Amino acid sequence: MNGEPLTILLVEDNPDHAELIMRTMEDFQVANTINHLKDGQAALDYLNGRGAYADRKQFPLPHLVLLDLRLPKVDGLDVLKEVKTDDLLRAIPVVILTTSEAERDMAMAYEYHANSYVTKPVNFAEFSKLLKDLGFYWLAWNRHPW
Amino acid sequence: MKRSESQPLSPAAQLMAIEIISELLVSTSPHKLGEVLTEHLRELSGARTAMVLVHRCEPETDELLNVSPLRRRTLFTPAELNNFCHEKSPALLPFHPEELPVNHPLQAPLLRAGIRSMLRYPLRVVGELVGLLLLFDLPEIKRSAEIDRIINLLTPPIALALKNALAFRQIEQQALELEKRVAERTAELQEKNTELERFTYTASHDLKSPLVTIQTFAGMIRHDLEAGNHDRPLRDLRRIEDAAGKMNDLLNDLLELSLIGKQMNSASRIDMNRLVKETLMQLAGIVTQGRIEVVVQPDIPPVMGDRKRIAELLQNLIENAVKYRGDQPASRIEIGVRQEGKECVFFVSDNGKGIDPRHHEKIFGLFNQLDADSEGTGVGLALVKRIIEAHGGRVWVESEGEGKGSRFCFTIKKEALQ
Repeated sequence: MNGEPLTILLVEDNPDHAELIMRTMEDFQVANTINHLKDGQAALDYLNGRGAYADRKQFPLPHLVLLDLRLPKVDGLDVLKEVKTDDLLRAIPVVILTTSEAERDMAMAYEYHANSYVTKPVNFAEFSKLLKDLGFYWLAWNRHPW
Repeated sequence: MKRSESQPLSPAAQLMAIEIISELLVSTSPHKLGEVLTEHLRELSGARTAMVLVHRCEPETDELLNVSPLRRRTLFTPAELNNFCHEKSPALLPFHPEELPVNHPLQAPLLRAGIRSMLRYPLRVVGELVGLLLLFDLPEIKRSAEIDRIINLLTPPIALALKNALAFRQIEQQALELEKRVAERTAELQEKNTELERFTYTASHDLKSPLVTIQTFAGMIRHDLEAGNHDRPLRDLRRIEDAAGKMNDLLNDLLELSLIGKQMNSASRIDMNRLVKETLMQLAGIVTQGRIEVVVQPDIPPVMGDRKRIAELLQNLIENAVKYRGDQPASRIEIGVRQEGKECVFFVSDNGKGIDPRHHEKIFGLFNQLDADSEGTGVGLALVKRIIEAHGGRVWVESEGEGKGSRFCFTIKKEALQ
């Protein structure tokens, strides 16, 4: 880490899960900022710097996207597909964080070049361990492209 | 017509008769048969026009199977052709049309067509009328005796061949019909199967969500309490309670959804004016609380259907209109009907949040909520769709976009559920 502020974009429609993820991430202090959005359309607007998210200073490109699959307006898989076919955005690591264990979802996510696919554990200890590991791996260990 | 039995048939006529019979043996399609018959019979008889009609008992009309030459197929209208039937004109038809009794229905059409002579042969198989053979404008009467004799010899095999060909066509049509029905059923089952798969998938996913909340927050509360932190646990307990409540709602809604189409009450005539009024009374609480003006069009026509389900449908649509009214000062809900062709389109419209046209289809899917912050389980519109489908109708939304209000429309097929 080189002192540059690290940003996570969390796309999660369930407010409880979002709270849990943010709390855990904050506890472990893996990121400087977590921007939380509740639907797929907002996520695409943010990543493309459109509309309310046009100010890149306030809404910088994230170093990691945590993406839920079943999202209002634009589905998580569609967000992923758009991100991974965009020349600029495709380099951003996208980790699918979902309750879905459906094989089809997993296959589709990798088909669209998800960087990782993890399911939310139904257990607090595992949940926080997972988020800690995820955060450290992608933000501390992993060398990001810019 | 007097028959000259003693005189042998000319070799040319015999040859033609053999030709016709051999053609009969190889033609399986009625139209092919008609084509062959009319052409050969015209040649054989020297008639200017030859027609073969197929007799149909129900409705009692004759189908023009073929005309030779083809360009003369519009010589008579179908109604006029029917008058050649034995049922319509049982008496022997004279060789010359001018000998027809006055006011005979065939007189005018024959005169118009300029027909100077004609022969009619019923095609019978063991007494059963299969069709009709008509020859028009034959050569001089001297030859017609021989023609008559040979055609009389030929009509039994022709009738039999025609009957077989018709039976064959019927079997083919039935086979096609069956094939079509099998394909339809298969498609239906496949659709049901996919729907079931989607249902299980979404249900398991959305049921797991509150479970994750309950388990993880319980763990977090334990963690906090052990660390002596007593502020957060109280708030987090609320999350657990809400998640459990949501799970309960989900299970109830899913159960409700699964029953539609399986457990339906028998259809009755539903007074829609009354049902709308009753539903509004049930929802009076939220309507008053939201300070919403409700306008109900008078004289909404009645429908046939499952009253309890239609009430559920109205309740869902009105609740949605209240729930998504947005934060404007003068909310308004309108309930009514408009006529589109022969169809009655019922609607519940509001001036609330509106829906982007991109999402107009999606919102009827199970658990597809447009707004992450909205209360409810995401089952409501899926339920509405199922109810309408069980009534053989359609449901859709009309909205120009966000902030433009929305109008939920539905139709109910009258004969459904009966």
